[in-house]
Amino acid sequence: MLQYLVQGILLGGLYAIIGIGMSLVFGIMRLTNLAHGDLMILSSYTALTFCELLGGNLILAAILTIITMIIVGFFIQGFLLNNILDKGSEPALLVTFGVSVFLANLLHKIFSADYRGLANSLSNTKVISTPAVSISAMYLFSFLVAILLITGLHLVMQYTNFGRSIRATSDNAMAASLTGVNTKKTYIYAMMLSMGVTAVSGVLIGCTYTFNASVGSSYLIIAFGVVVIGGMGSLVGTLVGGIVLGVAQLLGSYFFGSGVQMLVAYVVLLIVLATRPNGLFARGARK
Amino acid sequence: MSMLEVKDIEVYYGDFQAINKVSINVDKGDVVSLIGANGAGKSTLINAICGINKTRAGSVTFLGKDITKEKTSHIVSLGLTSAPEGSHCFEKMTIQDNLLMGAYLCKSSAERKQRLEEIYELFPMLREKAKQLATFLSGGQRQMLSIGRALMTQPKLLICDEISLGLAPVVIKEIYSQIEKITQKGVTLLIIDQDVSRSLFHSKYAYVMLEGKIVMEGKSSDMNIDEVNDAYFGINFSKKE
Repeated sequence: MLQYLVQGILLGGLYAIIGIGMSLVFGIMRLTNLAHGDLMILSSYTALTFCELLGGNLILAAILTIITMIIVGFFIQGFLLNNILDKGSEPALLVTFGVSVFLANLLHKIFSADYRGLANSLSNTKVISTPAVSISAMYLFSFLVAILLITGLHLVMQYTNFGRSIRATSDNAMAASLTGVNTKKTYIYAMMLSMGVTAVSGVLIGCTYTFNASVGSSYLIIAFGVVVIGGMGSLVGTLVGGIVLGVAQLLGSYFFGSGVQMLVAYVVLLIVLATRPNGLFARGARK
Repeated sequence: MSMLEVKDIEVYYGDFQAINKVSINVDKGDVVSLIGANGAGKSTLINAICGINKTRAGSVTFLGKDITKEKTSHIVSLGLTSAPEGSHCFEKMTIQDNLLMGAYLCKSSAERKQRLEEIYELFPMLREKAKQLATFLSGGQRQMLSIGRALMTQPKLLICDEISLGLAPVVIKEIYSQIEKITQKGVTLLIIDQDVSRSLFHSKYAYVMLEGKIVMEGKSSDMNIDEVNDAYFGINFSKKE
């Protein structure tokens, strides 16, 4: 039981990273990025490709993947979404759905349906290995990365001019433009930031689990769960949301068997939605 | 010297024409008021000047530059901004962060602090509540915050939209007394208010809007309140034409 609990908490860190990218975009543009899971798997494959080209240097491959995805974010927002966001968020939602279908099929075409993984030394290393608890270094590493990312992003959002402009745009885009913020550019920066974090999650997922072109949508649902439980747009909430979902999943697996573990996680999600529709960490009352 | 020159602009919402060939002029150092009932098109006009609403015809010139098609963020950098009515504060941000957003284009943090200090002197109430979220402010406090935030951009021309909407008379009086201090600092003002006599009293020149048109204009001191009231409500207006 302790094993499941600890592993659930650590898994929550990984889930939180998946959720952050989505939360950022939703918080700022009120846009649900349905391509989020597929973009994450795209990063996993990008890292895999770089890794093969570089002869197995995963760290360098991860850095190149982050840069690549930031550029991808620039193009998605600058050339696809910005033009259509003027017409409201529903048409943009459809565009992200299109991107999702396109990416899943493109990745299928290029990489076939075989499951792949990113070879690394951490996932076979145990940091704790007792009869009661055994923790993989990879899980712990993901959790630490999550804490680091969330703390870093929180500091940037709270204390820098750039972070303030992102918060202001998310709060009231018109008023933000009257203070001199170019909201279209802010949207692009936000998407680039989101894609950078998504690249990190893609690499970590690739190191932890095997993946193929069609698993993107299941990670989209996890991202959605994390963000809904934590409260859309709240960074600390994302971490809590990830942990709630991770623990629910693993305790579900402990009590009811691994076949229904995700079912338990989603039941918890539904309970949160029914009792706290704005999420556990929704900030400020919305009128 | 003419600071802002709006010439024959037209604004449409779909097929509906909200602004019909409106021209206004604001001279440097003046306080100009724009009077009109709800739905007369005042806010639409302001948003068109600031580049938020797209114009279909006509031109807007600020300090000799054509800004008709410019982005709002660029217009703000030239020194023209509007303080939207108080409901447009950044709700989930503190008062201080709201104000600091006003100095977004200022890259020096020392200068940002100095501007903040000036605003706190103008509105001491904002200093007291600096760490509170804007969502907890009253209507009058929001209005002050909105004006303070706009002043943080260091505008040459400040447009105050619906300056007294829904506020208690005492609060309105306080805001107008700050407005006088703002003009003394050399900021030109275009003020939108629904109260005719107050607008005329505080301004040098006034425009009256009705159904998307300017129906009356002139020196505020020369204007007859009854005539302005008639124009405001559109009474007997066709007879005068």
